[in-house]
Amino acid sequence: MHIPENYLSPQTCAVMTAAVVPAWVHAARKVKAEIPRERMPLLGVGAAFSFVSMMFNIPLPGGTTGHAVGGTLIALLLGPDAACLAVTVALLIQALLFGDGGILSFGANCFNIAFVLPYVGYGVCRLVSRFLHGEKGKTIGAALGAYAGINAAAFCAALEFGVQPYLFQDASGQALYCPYGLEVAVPAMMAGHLTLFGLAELVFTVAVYSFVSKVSPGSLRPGEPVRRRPVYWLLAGLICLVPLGLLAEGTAWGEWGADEIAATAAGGVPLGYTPAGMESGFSLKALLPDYSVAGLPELLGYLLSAVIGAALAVILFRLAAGAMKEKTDYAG
Amino acid sequence: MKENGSLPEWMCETEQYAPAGGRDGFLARSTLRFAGLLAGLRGGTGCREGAGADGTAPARILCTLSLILLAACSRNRLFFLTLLAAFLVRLCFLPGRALAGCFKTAAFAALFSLCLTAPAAFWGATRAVWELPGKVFLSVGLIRLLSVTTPWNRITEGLGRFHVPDLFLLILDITLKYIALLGEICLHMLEALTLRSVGKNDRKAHSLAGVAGVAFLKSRELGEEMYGAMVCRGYDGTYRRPRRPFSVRRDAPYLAAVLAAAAWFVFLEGA
Repeated sequence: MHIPENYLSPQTCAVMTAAVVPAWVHAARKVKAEIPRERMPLLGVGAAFSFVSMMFNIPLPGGTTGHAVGGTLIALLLGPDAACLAVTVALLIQALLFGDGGILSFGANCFNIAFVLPYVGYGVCRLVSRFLHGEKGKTIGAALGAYAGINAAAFCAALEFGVQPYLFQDASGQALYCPYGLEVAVPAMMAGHLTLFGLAELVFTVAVYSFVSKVSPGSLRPGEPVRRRPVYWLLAGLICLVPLGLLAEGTAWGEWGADEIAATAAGGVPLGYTPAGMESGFSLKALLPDYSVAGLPELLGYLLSAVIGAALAVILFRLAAGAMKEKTDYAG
Repeated sequence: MKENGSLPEWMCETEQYAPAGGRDGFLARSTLRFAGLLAGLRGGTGCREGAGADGTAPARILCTLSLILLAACSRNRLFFLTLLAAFLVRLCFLPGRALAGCFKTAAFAALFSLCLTAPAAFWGATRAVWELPGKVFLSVGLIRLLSVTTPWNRITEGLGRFHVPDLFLLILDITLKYIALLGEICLHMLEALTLRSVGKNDRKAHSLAGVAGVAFLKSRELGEEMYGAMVCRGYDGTYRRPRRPFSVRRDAPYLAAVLAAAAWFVFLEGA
């Protein structure tokens, strides 16, 4: 679901970034006002969970892959505003250090994955909880919210991909950026997300949510004990299992490199050309492109990337918590 | 009121004194800087001694210096990334202020070195552009980690066990102690200056030279007094060193880390 560099026109990227900025501002204000300083590190843990969950690639028949995001999970644990910021930080680390998702398309990725996904997921969960009460209702709400959230995000990404060939073409009629229109992009994106990837997000969200509510109820309900150690252990366990993501070979739909796209096919017909915008577009070499170190075992590179990314996410939010001023209730 | 009848008229008038706003930004900044310095020197970084692994100062120093040396000598990216990952994970478990101090200092040093290496990218040396700042980040971060997790007196004591010359240790010890003492004196003088300067006062900046001069005179006086006290208590120019510099039980995690890093280094560099 990460839109790479040059798949969207710079104009589209600018529009999407402009669209997500108000969401960031709103989320930052709400988090500053509502989340106490002691709970801020939990945002880092949430961002780390999101980062790690995105490294578990799941294969689909046909050679494409996808992954869970964990955005709804963070929204359920800390609220949608906190989830927006946490997933944004995870995406930023992925884009800057690992080249997963473009720099120009960062705003678009944030719009889909950090804004649409957690807010839709949280909204659906709240809606379900109105009709189904108790723990069962919460679990079903979490499951349906996770499923709806990831599909809404995938649908937005598909729309962004799909409008490109209609809006940006060269003189010969060839697409300048993403070459697949809505009739290809929407079914291709949604097929995976309505089935396997949606299911993966659902299972991940429900499993971690149930675990956290059992071992550290204070993370969900203020006033109850907060036990961070089991949560850290779960994160460490997930990081150790991250190499499983390497079992899935192939590239996710819409995340091909400029050298791969000419060979991709829609309806059995290869595309046959590389869009001009992709050939001569903006590119920034990441520190650890594709979560790997050149010339070194893929498994080690992947594992180290997971550790570095997750640790950075935790550190950044702990630094943010340190920069926050302590709130003093003079009235009380 | 009738009681006021015995008072002179001018004493009964309500004064409306509103002093003109003075600019004392430099005073506030200097005061904050000294306060921060003192907090740091007194272990006020929020990190208790022995937080996390409970090792002795020599083991911590040995571990830090060995890792920095190995990172500097290594040309293998996997080795560097392994150290970086371990360092970042260690940072995650530091208390908030110690984490901020450690990460910000390392990041600032890395950013500065990135400015220096960035032009190399024009000549195609893209690897050096990232590698040097990365190593600077790790090295500065490791040193800062040592300083925030180990009090200054323990560090000088630990250095003594590595046969660092006694004169050097004496100077380092006195310097660190007197930075704290003189800092406190300067802080008091700055506070006094702030309190006395009501309203607009153009001569505030001139007083800073006075603060520095008094601090210098005080340092000489304190230095002489301290040396005299040390001689009176039997100091003959040598530091006593315990026979066993390390405690195997307490230092096991640090020594294991050094051995593991060295083995990983040999394995990767030899491969």
